[in-house]
Amino acid sequence: MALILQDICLDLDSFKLEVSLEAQGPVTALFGPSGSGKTSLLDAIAGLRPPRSGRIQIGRHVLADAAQKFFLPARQRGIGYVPQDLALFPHLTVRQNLLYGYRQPETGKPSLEHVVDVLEIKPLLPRSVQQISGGEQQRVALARALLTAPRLLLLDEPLAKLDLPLKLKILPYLARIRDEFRIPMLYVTHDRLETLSLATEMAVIIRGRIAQKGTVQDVFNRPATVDVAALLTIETIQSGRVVSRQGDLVRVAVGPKELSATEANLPLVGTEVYVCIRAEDVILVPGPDAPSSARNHLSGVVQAITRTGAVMRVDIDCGFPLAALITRQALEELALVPGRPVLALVKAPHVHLIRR
Amino acid sequence: MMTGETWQIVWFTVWVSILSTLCIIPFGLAAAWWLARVECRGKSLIETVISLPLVMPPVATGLILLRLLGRRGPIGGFLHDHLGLSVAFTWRAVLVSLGVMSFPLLVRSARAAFEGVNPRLEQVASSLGAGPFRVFFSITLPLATRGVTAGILLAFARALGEFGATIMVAGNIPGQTTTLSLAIFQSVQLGQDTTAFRLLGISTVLAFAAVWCGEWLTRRRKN
Repeated sequence: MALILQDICLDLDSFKLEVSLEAQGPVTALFGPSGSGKTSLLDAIAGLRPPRSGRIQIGRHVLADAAQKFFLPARQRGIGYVPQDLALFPHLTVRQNLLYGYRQPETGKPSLEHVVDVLEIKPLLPRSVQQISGGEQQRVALARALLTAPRLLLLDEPLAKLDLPLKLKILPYLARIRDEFRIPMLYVTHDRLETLSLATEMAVIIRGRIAQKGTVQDVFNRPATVDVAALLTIETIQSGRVVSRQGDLVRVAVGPKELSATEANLPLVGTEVYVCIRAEDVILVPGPDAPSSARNHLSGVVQAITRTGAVMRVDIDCGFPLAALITRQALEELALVPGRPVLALVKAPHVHLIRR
Repeated sequence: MMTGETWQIVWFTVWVSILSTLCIIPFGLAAAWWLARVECRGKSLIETVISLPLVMPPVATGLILLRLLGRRGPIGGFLHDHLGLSVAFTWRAVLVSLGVMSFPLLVRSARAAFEGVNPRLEQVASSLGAGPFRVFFSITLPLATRGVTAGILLAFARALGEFGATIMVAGNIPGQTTTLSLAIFQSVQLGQDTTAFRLLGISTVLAFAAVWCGEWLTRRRKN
């Protein structure tokens, strides 16, 4: 069942949110910086705030239609909403929280035992929600929403407040929910890791507008605008100019260097572009330049090495700043330290051009 | 020594105060919830009207009530003509004046308590399928218990001590509308100091018991 948002318009404090979106699921990430209107959009879908105009549907089931002045109350929408602050009821136990919206399951819908098992919260049931840890609260809030047998789950940055190790522990639970219960999810986040590990489709929302939508692969590989690229934290974004075309390759001048790129629609010579290179697409080689299948060979000097999550980020100056992500083992084998010369290889299809 | 008359006054004061507090609880909580959660035009006007008895001289409030509830007043007249009920200068007038005078205290405390409940909790409760009444009784009210209890107690204490409005609309009819406060005033007027001090002692004990009860209730809730 697809969630369909048709010309939704909401008046927010400093801007207007205008969104049309069809989310086919299983998990659609709504990706955007904080303050871009994501939570307000979830509120509108959940029935907590009426849109000024537009229609909201799940499959053929209409939840709101501003033109008809029709707004189904939140309690009749059958939507499981896990807000950012979880909103567990502090005066109730974990069990009472779970049972608050529990409906006797129809066949194939999640049962209490099943949900409690999958999320591993059985030992928490008699405890007060104020006595359990952040990660546990997260799972309880998810379970509570699941137990209403919802048609759709809305998750508002469910992992934003957790540190990385805890995040890595909760992510598999979310993946289990996706695979076990097959409830479509709209997942608000501004985290790459969460998006890549859970979502199949994504919509990038910037200041109340959808800047790009598509499969996660497509959006990450081919960001439509430089704003989207920056938001997806594509590490290297440089301005350049197309200098020549050779068959299905173009040569782009970036600072003192020239890069080869290949695009479905090759830009004309002279076009001003942004050159985007994801750090995980950069290969580092210690020795002198040698022939390779990668079209771009960039010699440079290591500027800085920092740890980001499980991998190391190496910043290189090769006439323009370029970032590479490599494993700790690779870093040790290459004996990379700041100041050391290094060769960076990038395949032409990994050099993505966005017209300026 | 406690005479039968004194007992009657104490008993009357206590039960009419309890009854008036019980009567205003549903309306007070409804008004408090409305003020805490609903945004609309004219809200500040209603807010002011509810608070009026708190800031106006009680005697003036009593006069307004007398106008309304008297046999020729709009409400009193209706009740007398259609139901045969007299209100002014009966125990019913005491009940009404205590209720009106303590109403704003209940509303103020309860409103602050409701405003302290995170609306997100109510919203999530409704998305879990709860209707407005269930949301109120299962989420809002339990989380606001302390403030609401305090408000009820404050209202009860105010009712126990009410004087100005009561004497206007209910008079001071021995055995019928005389409350503790009225009796204290009367005995001082008549120079019966012993009676006055005995009544004073009783009202101190009552006030003390009410406050202590409240403390005990809120503490028990907390644990």
